Order: sequence, then C-alpha cells, then structure tokens
Amino acid sequence: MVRARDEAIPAEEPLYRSISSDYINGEDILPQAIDLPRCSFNRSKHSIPEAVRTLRRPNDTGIVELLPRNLPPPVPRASGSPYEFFAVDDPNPAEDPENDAHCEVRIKPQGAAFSKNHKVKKDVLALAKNSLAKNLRLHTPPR
Amino acid sequence: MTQLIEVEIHLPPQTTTTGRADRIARETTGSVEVSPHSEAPSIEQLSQLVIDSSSLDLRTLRLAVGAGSGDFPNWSSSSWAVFEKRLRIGLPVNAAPPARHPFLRGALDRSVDPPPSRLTLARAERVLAEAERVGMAVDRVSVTRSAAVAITFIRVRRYGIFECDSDGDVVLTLTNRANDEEADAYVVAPGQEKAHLEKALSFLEG
Repeated sequence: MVRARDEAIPAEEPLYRSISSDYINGEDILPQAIDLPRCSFNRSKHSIPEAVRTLRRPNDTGIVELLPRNLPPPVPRASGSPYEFFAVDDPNPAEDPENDAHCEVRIKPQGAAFSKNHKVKKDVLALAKNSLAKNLRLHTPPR
Repeated sequence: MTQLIEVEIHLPPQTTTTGRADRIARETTGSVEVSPHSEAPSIEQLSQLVIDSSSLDLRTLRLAVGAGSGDFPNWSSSSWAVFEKRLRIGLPVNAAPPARHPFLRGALDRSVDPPPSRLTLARAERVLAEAERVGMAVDRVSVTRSAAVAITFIRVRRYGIFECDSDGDVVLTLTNRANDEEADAYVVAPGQEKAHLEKALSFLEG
C-alpha cells in the first residue's frame, strides 16, 4: 500500500542519494552528481542510508547526505524572480514505484508554483546544480 | 513450482502522436521472445530489434514493454539493468558511431544510464578534440543520470566542467571550492568550444 504523502519534510531530516566516484574529488561533490530541476533523494524517516544503493546503479557505491535546512539560497537570474530550492515528499513515483522513501529537491521561480513544464535556462540550471552540490556532505565514500 | 511461460515483447511503431516518448516508440520496431521467469534476453535475441539509439529512452521503453506484455513478476531491477545494457550493446541499426576519445569510450562502457544522444556525443567529441588541440589534459569524462556527458578539468579545488546535455547544448561551469566565490556558467555555442576551453584554462591556472 502506498503511504500518504507528508505535507513537509522536517528541516533536520537527512536525505540520501547514491553517488559514483566520478563525481567526488576529495571532499568536493561535483555538480554533475545532481539532476535539476528535480533531484531524487531518499528520506531517512522511511529508509536506511544504504537503501539508495541499488543494482540498477552498480557504479554508485557512495552515499551523499543533505539536510533540508542546508538547501542553498535562491539562484538569481537576469530577468524574473530567482529560483528557490525546496524539498518535497514524493513516495512511490512512476520511475521508482517500490520506493516509498523517495523525495525530491526541486527548484522553482520564487513565489510561483512548481511546474514540470517550466524551462530553466541552461546556465542558470548549471549554477543551481553547483549550489546544491556544494551543500551535500559525503556520508559514505564510494568503494 | 511456477510454470515457465514464454512471452513475446512487441514494440510496435506508433505514428499518430508527437513527443519524445512516442518518437521513441515509432523508431523502435521488431520483437524478441523472453521469459518473465528467466534471465534477460541474449544479445542475439535483441539483435532482431531495430532501435535508434540516439533517441532511446530506456525508462519509456520499459513502460512500453511492460504495457505490451503484461507483468514480469520475476524481473528484478537487476534483470532490467542487464536487459538495458544488452539492448545498448546489441543495437544493430542507426546506433551512434563508436566514441573516438578513449575517456569517452570508457565512460560509455561504465555507464548503466540511458545512452547519450548522437548530438550529445558529437558535441562532447568536439570539446575533447579541441582540448587536445589546445593542450588541455582532461581529468574525467562521465555519463550522467540524465544522459549528459560531463567533461571535467581539475586543478586542486578549481573545476572547469563542460556538460553536454541530452538536447545537444553545452554549458561550461567554472567553480572554485576553495572559497565562497560564486560560480560562473556559460552556454557554449557550437564552434565556440576553443574559446571556452581557453576561458576554463585561464580560470584553472588563475
């Protein structure tokens, strides 16, 4: 049975994502490890950190952690309101239907509702990915 | 004991609608027999399929296969991973040409994600070729989860990253993690690779 979606994710709840060694250099997490405008994580409330390692991603043996309170500040753009980050509960999505710990970090124009159809300029997207990557912490190094 | 049942996966052409998913289905024809209770099909079986790998979206393919043939109760995520990998290895028609740069070939071999499009690969090859011409040694090449090719130059904690995305766009990100300075990002138009490599070199050596 699919669990009900939580209204909000607590600011102190760790979120986890798998990562390959390709995207780590020392303590630095590289922005290529991030997908935006939607980036998948697992919630610690509903799973253990190691659950993000799956056979579908044999190269992603490391785990990175993010606290929602550490989401980056809004990313400015030349015209229009800046893009803000937010975390949203998203259990059992179509692309990962058995994962009830799934959530996403997304970006949207400040003050507007999130839309999957909203196109973000590629250079702004790159800056947003870099901002988010800087705020990830390495939980478990890749093997 | 469960009885084995042979099923046939049909990937029929679809020509009536638009959009990426339908384009993939339209360009994907043929059939292959697999058992939901056995391992993923062999490359020989998959070679019957005709797939344009430049637009292949395996997530969509998986949905198409599932919808067309019913449940696959014994196909775990690892079975799908093997199936997807073999599909890409066995692509017989319209497959993207083999990557020339050894780092890119290695990245493609390691990747279990959807393969980059032909356009993505062409742009990545161009960046790599220009880097060789200007004498910049690339540190890493990888295929991202979103089927982009990331070409990374590293000097301690300074990074110059060319990301060639699935639309065929290239963005250069310059970031110095040794300080809190804002990163810079530039869209790299076709033909402007050399100028942006020089910009990256200047930043990295700065």
